[in-house]
Amino acid sequence: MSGKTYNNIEDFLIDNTFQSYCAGRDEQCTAYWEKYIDAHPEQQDTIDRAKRLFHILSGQKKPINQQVKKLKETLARNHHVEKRKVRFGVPTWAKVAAILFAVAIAYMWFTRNEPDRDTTAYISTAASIYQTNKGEKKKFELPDGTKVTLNAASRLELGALFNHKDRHVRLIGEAYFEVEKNKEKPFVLHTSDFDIRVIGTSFNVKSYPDETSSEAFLVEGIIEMRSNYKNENAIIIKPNQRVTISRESLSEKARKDEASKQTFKTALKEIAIQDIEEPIDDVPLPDIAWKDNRLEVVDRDFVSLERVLERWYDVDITLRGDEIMGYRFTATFSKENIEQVLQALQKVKPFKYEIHGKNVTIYQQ
Amino acid sequence: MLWERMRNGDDDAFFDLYASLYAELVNFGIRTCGNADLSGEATDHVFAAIWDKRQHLDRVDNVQSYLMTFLKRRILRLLEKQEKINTALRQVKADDDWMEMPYDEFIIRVQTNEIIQLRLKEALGKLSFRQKQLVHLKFFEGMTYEQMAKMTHMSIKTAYNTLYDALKVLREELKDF
Repeated sequence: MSGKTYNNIEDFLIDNTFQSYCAGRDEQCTAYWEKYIDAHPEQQDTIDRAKRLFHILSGQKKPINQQVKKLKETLARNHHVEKRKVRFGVPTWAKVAAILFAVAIAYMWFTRNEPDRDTTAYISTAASIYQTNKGEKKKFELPDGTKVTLNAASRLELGALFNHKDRHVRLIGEAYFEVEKNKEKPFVLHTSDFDIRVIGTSFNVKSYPDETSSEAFLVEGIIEMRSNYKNENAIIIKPNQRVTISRESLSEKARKDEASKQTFKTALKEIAIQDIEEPIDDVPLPDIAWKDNRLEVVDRDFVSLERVLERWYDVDITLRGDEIMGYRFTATFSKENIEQVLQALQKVKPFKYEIHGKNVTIYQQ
Repeated sequence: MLWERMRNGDDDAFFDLYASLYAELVNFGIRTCGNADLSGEATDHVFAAIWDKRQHLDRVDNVQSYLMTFLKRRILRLLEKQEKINTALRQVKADDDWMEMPYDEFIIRVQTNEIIQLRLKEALGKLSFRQKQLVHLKFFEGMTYEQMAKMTHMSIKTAYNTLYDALKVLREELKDF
């Protein structure tokens, strides 16, 4: 660094500090060499070649200081640059709507506290609040005749003017709706990610704050889903379609649906529309099995299963062990208690558990 | 430990963790798959997932090993999606030991420019084993002269000179780039 002469490419490349500069490893080295470059414009060309050779020999990696900077920006916007092609298995109209929708949703997770349209304006003073705790499941009839089954740890608020001019409700958690038909008074459901305008009758909505995705599944009728934020475009959902809105913008969820035996990929990581085949006989689909006191788990890892079990059985679960968190399960439970569930899961993957009152600890064998 | 600080809400600890472990993880991906983009993507995914869940994470005894397993899983997923999973990796699971390629194989694979691939191959063909080893350790793994000298049982001066000669050959072969 001091008193040395640099003539050709190898003179630069052999130097420790120059290597650090190319790799972006050290602030002082970066500062030093940037100054050097300014002071020796005649060597610009040689230095550029040296940097290019470094880039080749280091495996085409970007300098780490640039990587960190890029990561910070990415996390701040919660926006991940994807180079992959978008793939949809749905008709063009849904493609266009979904792509526009997805763009809006891309800003959702981080801007969720500053909506364009304040949903609370619709429900400024909730006339009634229906709520369930962990481990509870309740069925209500709303003033307009709509039947709602509320799953565990969920909450439904009715707008003060519910059933006057229209019917606005807000949901946190999961509920199955059988909406009473009334063309004069549109039924509008608000969740943190989207609004659903009900044109038809029966659908299931899941929107838990601690989950990485929200879902709406339509059994009968037609619903129109609309994003809460910048974009006005809406998607119309038809029966036996499930819409998943992923909040984890960097995850890719490939969902194999047991009934339809098709695999769909979450396009643009934000939204997926799946066509689900009509259920055979009376076997209800996983989405709404919970209504009939069946807990259906389809290819979930232990971390997400943990949340479901916590709500369903009103327990606090602690998972210990890196391997365990990645365990995946597909199972159906109906009348079992939490211990029986764990024992059943143990038959599939090895782990140990301890139950002390409401606290369940699951750990590696 | 950075992991503990991060769990307790120290966001700077996350970025420090990223800066210190990023190269190791990406390098592993390159050594096993020969693809810098894939490797970078997988690594970024791992860190972004950690960021999302940073305050809900469990204690981890060996952070490197944990992240490595996570990375392997992610790489397999990405390869499956891109239908690029080759027979060697198809058999392997996230928990197994993965086959790593030697430097002169992956460093060529990872280049996106075919002409560079060709020239680099010729250049590496002209280097001795020792020279290739030092180029690998210095430029890919980022070791210091002390570390390299220790690993190769050379003196620092010999390492320095051997590397300098290697660079002359490389520079000559790749001088149009």
